[in-house]
Amino acid sequence: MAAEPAHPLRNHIRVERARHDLTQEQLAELVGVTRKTINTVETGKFIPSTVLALKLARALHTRVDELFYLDDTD
Amino acid sequence: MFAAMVMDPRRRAHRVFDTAVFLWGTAGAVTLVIGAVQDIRGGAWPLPLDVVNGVAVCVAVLALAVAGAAWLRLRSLRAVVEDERTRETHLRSSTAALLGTLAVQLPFFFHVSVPSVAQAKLTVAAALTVYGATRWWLNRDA
Repeated sequence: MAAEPAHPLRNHIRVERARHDLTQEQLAELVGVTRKTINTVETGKFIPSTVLALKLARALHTRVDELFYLDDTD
Repeated sequence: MFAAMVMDPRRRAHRVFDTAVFLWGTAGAVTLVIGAVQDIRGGAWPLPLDVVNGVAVCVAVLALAVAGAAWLRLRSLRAVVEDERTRETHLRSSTAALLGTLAVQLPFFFHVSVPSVAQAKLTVAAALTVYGATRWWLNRDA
């Protein structure tokens, strides 16, 4: 089981990606990054820039604040 | 094995590129360390050291050629090879490599005398090793 990231930023990318039937590779191609970058953003290991967050939200037909959220339990 | 055969061409090219660069760095560092050891020892090259050095040089040259071919393949497939995460990884690895090169200079402060040519080789080897190790560590779960 993967360890929880140290920062409180969480996301719904995996869920949204599955809803649109996209692989990490396909999403990476849509937003112009590597597959590894999508993987690390999904797992919370890498915090994307605002530009990448906006691109991800656009590719997944959602809003940034719906895709990313702060975990208030911390 | 079968999974690797049916792997997406871009992913395969990425993997080949990463592996080749890793091998190049490792073999390069081995060559430099062996060269430094020989510079410190002086005299004729002992056979085992000579053989390991020869193999490392061959691996480094071959790996560099494979990395170049994989990079061209990635370009022809229009794959993304650099983005904000890879740039951040590069920056963090470079910072770690700088600390590594500084650490290699420490013996100088304890008056350990090392020939400057050996010191230069050890410095570059440390930079390569620490950069590669940090990069691998940061990419380990990606």
